[in-house]
Amino acid sequence: MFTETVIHRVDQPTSLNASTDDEVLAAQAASSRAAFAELYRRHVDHIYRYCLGRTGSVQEAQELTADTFVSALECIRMYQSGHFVGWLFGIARNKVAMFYRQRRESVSLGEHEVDTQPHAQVETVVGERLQLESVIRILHKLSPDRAEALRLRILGDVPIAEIAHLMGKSEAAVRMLISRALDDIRGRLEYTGETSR
Amino acid sequence: MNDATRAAEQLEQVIAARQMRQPLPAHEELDVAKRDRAVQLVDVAQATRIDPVFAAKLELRLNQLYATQPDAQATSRWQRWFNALTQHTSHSVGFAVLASLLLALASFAIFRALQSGAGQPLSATEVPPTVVPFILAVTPTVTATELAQTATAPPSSTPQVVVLPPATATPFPSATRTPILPSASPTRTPTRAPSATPQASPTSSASSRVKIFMLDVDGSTPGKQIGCGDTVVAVERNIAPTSSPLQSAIRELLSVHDQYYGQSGLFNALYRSTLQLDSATIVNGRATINLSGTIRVNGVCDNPRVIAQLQETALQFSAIKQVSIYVNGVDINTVLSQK
Repeated sequence: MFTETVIHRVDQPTSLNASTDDEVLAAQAASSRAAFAELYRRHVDHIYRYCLGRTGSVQEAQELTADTFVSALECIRMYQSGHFVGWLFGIARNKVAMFYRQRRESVSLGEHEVDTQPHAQVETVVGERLQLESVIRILHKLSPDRAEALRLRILGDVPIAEIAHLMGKSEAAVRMLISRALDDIRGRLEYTGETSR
Repeated sequence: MNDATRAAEQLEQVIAARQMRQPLPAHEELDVAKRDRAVQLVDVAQATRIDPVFAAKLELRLNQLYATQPDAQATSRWQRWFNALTQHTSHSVGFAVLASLLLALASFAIFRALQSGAGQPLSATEVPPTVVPFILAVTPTVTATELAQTATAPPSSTPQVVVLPPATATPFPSATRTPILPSASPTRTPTRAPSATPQASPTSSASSRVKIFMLDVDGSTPGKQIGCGDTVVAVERNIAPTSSPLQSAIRELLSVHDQYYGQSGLFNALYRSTLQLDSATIVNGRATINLSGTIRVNGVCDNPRVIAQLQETALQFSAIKQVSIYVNGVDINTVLSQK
């Protein structure tokens, strides 16, 4: 596998594993390429999903994911917040915000293809495409705070505490935003008849 | 705790359990349809993965970029030296060796200073280079008023304070630290003759332009990077002639309440805060800025932004080497960490 080849390119062998804390890795990443690579592998899917949820476009989500990690690499030696996931998603949010500001126009989801798992079985892809497309489309219709909290929590897999830091809200407020966003989604799916159950 | 709050907590437990592929907790109070919707969303999200070929190429590119980062293995040349020194010894031994070297250098410098002065007191123009750290080099933009605050202790017990003519200094720091928008054309202010004490030259040579600092959250503008990959960018503002440019600059910064600065697209992390400047003093190169009011940020990325905007605005004056900021008497780092 190509991925395994890349993994072997990283420098000295380390004891990094899945249980190593993000904060420990972030502290090591300034001087250890292996630590940064581990952080990348842990969070690349999360960042990608979040960007996909914001843009609705696979290509744009990939570009924003790449921009996010390049910036993270450039700034990792300045990292000191104690909230690595929040910091990383803060960069991603900056990139998405800049993307929209540069485009100066809202993205029409109808113009973009949403590809969720290019290498999966065709039947699976079709089923997920429909669901994810409808979810992303509906997310754009929710209030910005509710949509953002849900994107971060579900698509980005960001813990509640980190979302609270990112959005400058209390954890209880974030939980409430997510709960209400799910209410909104359910109502809209039922209204448009897009429920898949 | 009301029903809605409890339901939101239970929903979060369901989401977390599903994300970790654990059995769902049984919450009878939670709306079943809502729970199922959350589970379905988690499943759809976790099935969505970035193209593995793209991910591998990106990782390769990051590996290559990592190798080209300056000082990737150590944050500074000094740290590399220190690491080399401590490679075969303990850190305490390393510190001891470094401290000894610094002490020897300082002793030599003092010896040379005394030798060149032949026992005579040093005048303002005879200060040897070795005692430069004890001199407060002041550019004309930092005025007598602020300098008076600088040298508040009795002269006999404080390092000698000399106002140096700005031979090569500009009123603002060099343009290499931060790019200046919209223009980088600082106006030179009249120079002052050297003076033994700052109080001796009360004339004001105030500048009508100061810099305040905003943020390029895209990080595409070259300059000092902070926090979440943002770049600190200077913008020039015209102000009324003043005898205290530091205070004027900080007030000018705090007066901006737009989220984005004009049409530049530069971000202002202070736009929601309602802060006032109570005082700004400079002592031995350290500016102490006391603010009052409410500081409001939008998230973890805003914390370094707020600090950077204030710090860089103060650091534009070459007499200032360090900045301490207090909000309602509390260190701003403490204030922001509690947000």
